[in-house]
Amino acid sequence: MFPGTSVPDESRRGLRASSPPPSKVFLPRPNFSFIPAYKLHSRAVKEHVEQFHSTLLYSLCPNSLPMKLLHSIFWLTAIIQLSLALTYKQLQEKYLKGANILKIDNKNYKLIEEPREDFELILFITANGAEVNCRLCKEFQPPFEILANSYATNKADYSDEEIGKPVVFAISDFTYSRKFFEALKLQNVPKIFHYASTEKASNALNVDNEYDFTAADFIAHLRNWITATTKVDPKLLEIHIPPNYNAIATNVMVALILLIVIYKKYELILAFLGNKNLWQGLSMVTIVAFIAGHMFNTIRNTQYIMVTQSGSPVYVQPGHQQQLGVETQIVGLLYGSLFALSVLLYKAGANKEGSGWLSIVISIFVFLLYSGLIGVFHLKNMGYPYSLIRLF
Amino acid sequence: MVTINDQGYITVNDRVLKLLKSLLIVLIFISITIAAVSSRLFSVIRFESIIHEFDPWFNFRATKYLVHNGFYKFLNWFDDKTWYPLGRVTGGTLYPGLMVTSAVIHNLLAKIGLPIDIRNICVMLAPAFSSLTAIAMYFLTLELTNDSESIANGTAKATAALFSAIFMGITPGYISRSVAGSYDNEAIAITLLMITFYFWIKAVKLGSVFYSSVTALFYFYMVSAWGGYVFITNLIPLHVFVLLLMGRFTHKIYVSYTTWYVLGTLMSMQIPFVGFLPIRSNDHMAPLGVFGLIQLVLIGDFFKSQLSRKVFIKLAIVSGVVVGILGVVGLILATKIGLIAPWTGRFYSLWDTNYAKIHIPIIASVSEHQPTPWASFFFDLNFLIWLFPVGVWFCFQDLTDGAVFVIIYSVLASYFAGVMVRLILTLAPIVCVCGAIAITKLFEVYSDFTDVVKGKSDNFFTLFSKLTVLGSFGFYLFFYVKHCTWVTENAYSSPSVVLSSYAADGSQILIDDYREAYYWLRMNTPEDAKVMAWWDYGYQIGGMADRTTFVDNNTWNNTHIATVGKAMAVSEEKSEVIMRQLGVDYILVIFGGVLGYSGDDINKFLWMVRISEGIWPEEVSERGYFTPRGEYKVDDNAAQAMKDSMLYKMSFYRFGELFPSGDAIDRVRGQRLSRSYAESIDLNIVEEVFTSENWLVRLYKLKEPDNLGRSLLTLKDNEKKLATKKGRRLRVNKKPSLDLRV
Repeated sequence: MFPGTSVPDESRRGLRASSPPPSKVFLPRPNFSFIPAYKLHSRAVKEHVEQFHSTLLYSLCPNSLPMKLLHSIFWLTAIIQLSLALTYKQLQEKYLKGANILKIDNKNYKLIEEPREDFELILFITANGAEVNCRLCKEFQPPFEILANSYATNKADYSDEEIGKPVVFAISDFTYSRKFFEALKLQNVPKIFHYASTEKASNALNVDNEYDFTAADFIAHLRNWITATTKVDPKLLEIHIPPNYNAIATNVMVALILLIVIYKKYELILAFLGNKNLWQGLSMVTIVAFIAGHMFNTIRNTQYIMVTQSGSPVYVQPGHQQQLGVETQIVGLLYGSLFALSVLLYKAGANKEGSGWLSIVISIFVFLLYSGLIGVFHLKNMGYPYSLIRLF
Repeated sequence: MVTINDQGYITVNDRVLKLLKSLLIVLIFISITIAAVSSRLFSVIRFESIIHEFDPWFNFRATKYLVHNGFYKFLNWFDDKTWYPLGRVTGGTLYPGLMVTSAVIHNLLAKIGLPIDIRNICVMLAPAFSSLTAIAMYFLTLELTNDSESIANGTAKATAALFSAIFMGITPGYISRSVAGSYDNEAIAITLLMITFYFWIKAVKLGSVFYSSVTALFYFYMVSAWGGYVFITNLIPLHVFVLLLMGRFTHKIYVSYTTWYVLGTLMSMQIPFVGFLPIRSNDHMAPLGVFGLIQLVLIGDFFKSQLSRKVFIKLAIVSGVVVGILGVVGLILATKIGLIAPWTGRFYSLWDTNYAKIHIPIIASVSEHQPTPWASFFFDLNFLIWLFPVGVWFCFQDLTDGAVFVIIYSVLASYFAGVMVRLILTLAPIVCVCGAIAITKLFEVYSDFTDVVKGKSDNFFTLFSKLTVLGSFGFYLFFYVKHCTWVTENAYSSPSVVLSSYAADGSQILIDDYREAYYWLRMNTPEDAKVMAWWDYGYQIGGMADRTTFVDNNTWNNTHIATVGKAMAVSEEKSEVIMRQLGVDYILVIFGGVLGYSGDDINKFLWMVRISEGIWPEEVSERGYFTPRGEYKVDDNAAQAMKDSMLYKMSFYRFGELFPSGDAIDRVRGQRLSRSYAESIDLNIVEEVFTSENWLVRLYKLKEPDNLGRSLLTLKDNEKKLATKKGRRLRVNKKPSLDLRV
């Protein structure tokens, strides 16, 4: 029972229009020296072995004793190297120690460069310290933690086969992992990186995927992104929000206090609630707010005001698909004044002793305001042909 | 009859006056009807007598089915031509009121010897009902105002009522859904809404079982016609609830409410689509709750008259606590067990405005479900929008039962209209009532010239001021008419099946690409061909091309829509798998780049991506369709996922050929595709079979799988390698060789 699909604004303006730009954090220019991270690890060894297989000597006499010996030495080194890779179990024992989130700090940051045998790493890089003043970091950290904790909670309900490759959530904060930041040559935070499991040691700069801080609904987007990049079962990322006992306690307290107040002062409250003017005012304000487009601003999270390229402010955004926060205020003010003036006009007319001047003045004002309203509407709808008087 | 007495006064027999008055009212009504109907005929005169938009095509198809097959077959209709391969239990999932209404009119007219084509009845139904709405508005406003001296006294009552009827007759907020050809549920639902409210107000006033039964009857008609009946379902109990809170409990309210609730609920459950919803779904819980409450109030009222004050208060507290606990526990239990369905998403999104955006992209995607900017209110209601609060203020001056109703309706409807643009439709009537009350009050004060005639001191000023006010408001009324006519003419009279545009010399050009393409489908494809398109076009393909579709505007199956979205959004290789599994024969794509038509599939593409991302987040990701800088590009710099997507390729395939001497320009998005890039867009698994005159509709056919089992992708590559430059040109110009089937 619908008509068509709407055309989203983003397809006209691009996605980033309303998304917060990552705040810049200026770090001291890193004194970065490239660590040659190429050690022999499993895949490399396998390649090595294969290379060895393809040598002329080996292909000529594969079963001769020295060749067999050499062969087994190669395989032995391969196995040793394999066991050097970091496994999930080791990670749990050595670093996680029962925590849900891995903390990357100055001491352990090198583990990022080790091969990850059987797990995926999602790393949240942030700077919560006061010296950086990163608003987005503070905003995004709690949802990230909720997601990480939910994953840990869900993981307990499934068998290892169902889980597949586990995902490790890690956080690295500028305050305690400055060295890591330098290694990464980071310029701005927050960032979320995905390091896929590898058999080769790699540089920390070798990020497999980077999350884009774009949409408003961070937690859902991050969840989708994680499922897309790590191929984890979405059911493992079902979100559990831990009950906030502080909030519950506060609510109970507030409710109790309210109940007591109501019990003690119910007559006063009844008189207050029975007051017609209260309801009249409330109704008027809500109606004017709604017809001035308040809900549009709430739902679309519109900007309050817009600034053009040249720096001059824009108060009214043309077109029926968009609206600025300030428009609601302008129009609400116009509606409110027109309402008040109309009521006054009625009262002036109903007053038999009135001289009539008042009515004339009020109706002139009504006319002017109405012209103003149409003028604002002209800015919205360029093709509208009528106007009372052209104010601007 | 008319005599002049000796003092020079003219006396007229009051019977003659009454006759004159009623004659005048009748004349006014005839004028309103003419105005209301004629302003809705723009589209018929400009284009032709044609069904508009999307949904009306389904309603039209259903009506034809009803007329040809009779009512019982209609109720049991299983439609296997939509939602292939699932089908749709159409008879049980539609509101039959509209179709039954037109079928009844059709049969009646045929009986009295006026056989009119069912299409014309469908086209003209909405304008015809709009004149009925005007009359219903007249009675409603009269009923709302006639027991209140301060809202409208004496002679002014009929004035206010007439004003509201006129306003309603031509307000664009209502015309938007009721122009000729807009054969949709709302066309009759607004009329029924007004009639139901009229009888409800009358019932409350008189406490009459008869009138509340009539209310229930019209409520039933409303339920059968439009899903928006939930508005009545909640507004009437809220009205009663507020009256109870105000201490206005009377047996009249009890009688009218209980009668309406019991009869209305029982009757509404007879509609197959509604079924047991009225006792299970949460959006019907308000009337049930108030029904229970009013019983308690009645019992309380009885005890109050029997017991001493002290005992009564004790009893009230104890029973209140017990009932409260029982109620809450019962509610929780019922929800847990599953007796009560959770909030339906569409309704829930009205309260928690971010709910739909996050959880149900299919709802968020519908253009009618977008929130309303202020400009739309002004556009649809003109100066009534600022008179609206004034009228509400007047209602507060004398809080009769009717006035309370107006206030509740105003606040609720303005909230709903703010959340969803299409609900301006339910706001429009009350705005007209309030505007009429406000303007009547002003006119009543300022058109009273007795002082002037009697010759008081400041004669001139009074006269001048009165004329100023009357003149200015008279002008606003005139302005309203101009505004309404302009809006109707320019915004609401396009059938959207046929588009119109202006040539350089100012002459009108009709763009008939949709029907051209649908007709091509109808004539050139096998009758059982399955056509895949985005859901917007499902009803039109069913109605005009008479071919099987996969998804349509009913949107009942999100997964199925997401599947189609995914087939459009992924690469050819993956898309082929999906399309083969679905059983697609043809694919229809709307492309506005040539014409500059902004409602095309590329602009809607993000929703296809989002909806499929909701189901397959690991395979489709919205971010991938934007460039690294976050731009939505379709030119050379488009994101890779965009360039690979089936929809993109089908839209821009051969686009470069339109611009033989330079870059191809997409006129919707204002982006340039370089010549070499535009030529490199190639399709392997489908072949173009039809493109309409202005490239608005493009049809592709999914190729048959290769006989030797080679993949179509590699096959095309080989072919390309082999083809010489000349051969390639020939291949491109090859037209599909299909014979016309008659």
